[in-house]
Amino acid sequence: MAVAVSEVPVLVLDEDYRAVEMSPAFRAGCGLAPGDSALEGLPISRSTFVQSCEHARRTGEAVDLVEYGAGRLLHIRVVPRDELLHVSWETLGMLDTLTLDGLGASLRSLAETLAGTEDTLRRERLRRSLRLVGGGL
Amino acid sequence: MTGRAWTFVIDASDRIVQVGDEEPRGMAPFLGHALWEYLPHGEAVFGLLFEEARSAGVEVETIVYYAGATMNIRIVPSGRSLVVYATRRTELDVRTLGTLSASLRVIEQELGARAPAQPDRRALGSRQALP
Repeated sequence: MAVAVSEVPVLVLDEDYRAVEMSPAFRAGCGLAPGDSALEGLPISRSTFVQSCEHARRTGEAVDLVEYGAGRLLHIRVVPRDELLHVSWETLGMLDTLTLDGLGASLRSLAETLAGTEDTLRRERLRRSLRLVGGGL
Repeated sequence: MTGRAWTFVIDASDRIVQVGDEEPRGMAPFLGHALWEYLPHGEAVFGLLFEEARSAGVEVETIVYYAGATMNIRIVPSGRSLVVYATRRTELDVRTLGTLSASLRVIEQELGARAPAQPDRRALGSRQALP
């Protein structure tokens, strides 16, 4: 019987990008098991993911990225905690490849979602920078 | 990439009455059912072609997009039935924005080449929607 999964999938990675633990939602949506490398079978560019993780480790701050991969627009959030990285994935939209009409509509929808999300992330980054600047004064 | 052809026969009510040996997985259980149960939203893509073949009583061959690929479709009237030969051609490659854009370009060319007088602008519109 199919089980409805409503929580956001979360994956915890060690410094070698190996899965330490994962939420049931993540386990349901991927073939990873604890100990597996998360870099295999990533739906987005490996270099983009690794750069984001390295940035999160270096700065100690969460990194948000919105990326297209495997027919989906994903919001990925990387949060550094101690030596580990907590990675959550949220699907913002999916391509409908059944018919040309559906494909066109879903592409337009993904483009709009991407533009809106980028604006939100830009605003959030600006807000965070202003907070940092404000705190430093 | 041209794939293997598969064949099926539908009656005057678009019910699947025969499935070729090379049928894609899962079509056989739909024998006796409406084709549109097996091909959701397919009526908008194939319905007019079937009507054309039936009303004119002539073979119709064209290229359509359906279920993530362009398909070469040949429809041959046979009494009150239609024999349909379908071959998948170019798959939409959704892995990255680059592969998506490149495959949409090929699909657009294939659909544009099938009827120069009335090119299907939807493929172009799809590619232009890419972020």
